[in-house]
Amino acid sequence: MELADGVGGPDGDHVDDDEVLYRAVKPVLWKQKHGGEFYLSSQAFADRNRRPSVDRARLCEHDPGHAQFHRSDYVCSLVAEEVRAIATVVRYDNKGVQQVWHNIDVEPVPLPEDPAHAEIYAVPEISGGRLFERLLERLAYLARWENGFGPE
Amino acid sequence: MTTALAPSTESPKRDVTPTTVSYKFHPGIGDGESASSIHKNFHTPLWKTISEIIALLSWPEGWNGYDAAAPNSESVGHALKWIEALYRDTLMTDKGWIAPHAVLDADGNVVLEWWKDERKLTVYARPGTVEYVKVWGPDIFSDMEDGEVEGAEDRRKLWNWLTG
Repeated sequence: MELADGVGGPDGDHVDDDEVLYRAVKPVLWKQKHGGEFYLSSQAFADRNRRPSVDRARLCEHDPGHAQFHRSDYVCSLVAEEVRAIATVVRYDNKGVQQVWHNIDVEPVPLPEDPAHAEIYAVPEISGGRLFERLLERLAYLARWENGFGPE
Repeated sequence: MTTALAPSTESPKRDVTPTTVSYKFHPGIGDGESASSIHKNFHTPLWKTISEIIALLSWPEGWNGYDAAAPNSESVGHALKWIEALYRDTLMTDKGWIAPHAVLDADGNVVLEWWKDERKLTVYARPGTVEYVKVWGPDIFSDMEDGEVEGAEDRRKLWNWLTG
């Protein structure tokens, strides 16, 4: 993945706790609930590299439309502080003994075509097991539709 | 009573188009666990779910706008068998059927999701395994449980948990 020149990087930028993070969501990933509410699929944050992409509202003029790939996409948002508050997830072995602690964080990963790009990630990286699937459930739980960009 | 579907042995008439195929129904033939016929589901609530799972095969690579893989046909086949088995289980209970929300994960595997009051069940139908995440609250430790569905007993336990 190519990073944007002179923008961000591991030492040059930081996602503040109060930053809003946008994520594009295809309409197939929500389901109408009785009473007008909705269910958001855990797959709204699915990512092959286990680093879900988001866009930092601060760097795209707080325009949720910036995150859209297509005009029909919905856009939900998270707050960085809430993502970090997931804090630590622990992986256990078959005997219930703690093996690894993972901290959940978000960092800037600016791209040439998208300087607002950032990624949610775990330290150390989550590999194997179903821990990432649990994280997806939590992220979907935290997500809120952006006004005018959700299923109205 | 069940019915089985079999091609007719009659020769097609000359004035029909080459693509015309006729079928005869033979009630009672093909009964059994391993020969569950998809046509039996046309009149059941399961049919809609089967259609939705098959339709996942048309989703393109990158369907979510990010980096999602193309659908895995082995996963789709596994999901179809699994959901039919689950549906048969539900016919033996008084709790009824709840249609899942069918989508793909980032690796192209079928994901089935159910919501029932405060409970949520997510099932990942991968080519060689079926895995689940049970959710009853937001906390990753205390409100979620995950595992592998290794057989009919596990499958029924999951359904009892969801509908209990």
